[in-house]
Amino acid sequence: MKNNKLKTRDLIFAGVFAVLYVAVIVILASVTGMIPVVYVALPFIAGVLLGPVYSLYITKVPKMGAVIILAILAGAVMSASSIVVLFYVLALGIIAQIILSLTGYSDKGICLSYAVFACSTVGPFLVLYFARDVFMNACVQYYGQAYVAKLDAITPFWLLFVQIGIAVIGGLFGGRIGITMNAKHFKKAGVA
Amino acid sequence: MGKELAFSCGSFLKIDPRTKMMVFICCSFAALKETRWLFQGFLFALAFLLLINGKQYKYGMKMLCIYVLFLGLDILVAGKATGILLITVFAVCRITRMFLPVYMVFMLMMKTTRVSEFIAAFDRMHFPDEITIPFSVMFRFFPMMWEEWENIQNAMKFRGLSFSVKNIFTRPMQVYECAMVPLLADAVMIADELSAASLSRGLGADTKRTCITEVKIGFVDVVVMIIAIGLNISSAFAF
Repeated sequence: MKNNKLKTRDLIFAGVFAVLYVAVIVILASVTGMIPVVYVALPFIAGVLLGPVYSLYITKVPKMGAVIILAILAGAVMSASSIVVLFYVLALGIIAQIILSLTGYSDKGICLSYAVFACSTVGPFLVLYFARDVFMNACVQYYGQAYVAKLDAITPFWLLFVQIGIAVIGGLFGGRIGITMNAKHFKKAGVA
Repeated sequence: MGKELAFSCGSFLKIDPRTKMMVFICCSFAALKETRWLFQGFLFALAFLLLINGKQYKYGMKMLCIYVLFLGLDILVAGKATGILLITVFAVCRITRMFLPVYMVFMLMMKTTRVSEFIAAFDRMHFPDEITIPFSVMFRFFPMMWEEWENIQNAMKFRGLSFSVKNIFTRPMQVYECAMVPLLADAVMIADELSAASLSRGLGADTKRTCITEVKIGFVDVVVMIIAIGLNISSAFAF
């Protein structure tokens, strides 16, 4: 970490990993979107699945601002429903970056910062809680009335905190898997 | 997918990358908010005309067929949808139809814009490199990742661990590991190759880059942008 400025190589890594990150979220959302109960648990599933992506990215680019760029890219894609999501994800990215800097990029630090960053997948749901009518109207268009009635029934406001909770748990779990994977595969193969 | 993404250049009226981006953003906003058939039709028409302008005839026609088919299904089935199966069919039709314009403009960007044009356009808007480079990489890497993913799936099948619903539920960790590790290893390798290539193109240099393709917002761009924004505003006032 002698040179802390982001170089072109680091920016390219950011782009490539952001594609993986976003692609997994989009695919998961469209697959689970059909079943309301699973859809609500998306933050947990995404948190577990994306752990390795995040931790390998941080290991490859351990520099100031790397997480923030990932947050901007992922946030820009997720903010299709509302621009507020971008700022939410960006704020999480900044907190994750601070945690990483404070812990000096140790395994524990990566895990902890990812637990914060994993909350970003709650972002698209924010509209569901704070602009319910708009969201439901859109959903009627996609899935029809029956789906919306079900979604409405299983998502009271307190579920927001549950979602953040499971996102953090999923993040801790995913981060752990990511670090294990780094040690088991990527360090040996000379990739990390 | 690989064949469709073959790069083709030249279009009747030159359209700036910034305009395409603008239309893309407008389309995705409108697709989420707009519910009336007429305006959805306008959106589709705009995307279709842009595709034809970019000389993507075959692809444009394919999209037109899909659109008409789904619109017809929607009209015929919508009133009578009762069973769970019919509702699912109906939902798939509608979602596809609503997001088709977005997808079309996205493909238009991918097929008719060079990365250097893209970077030059971003540069002209005074975006910092920290945003420009990752975005252009994302743009280029999406189709590559799809190819890699197909290869990985084949390799998994070869080992008797196909990416199927049954395997996902019975051996989730194994499927997860066998999919994720090669995907990440590929990503790192591709990123390394891309950075070597970009170094040879002088992307790492601190000086200002020049671009041989002229990137300029002309009369056509202004017209297209006004139409795209106009469609958006009209949908915003609809509620």
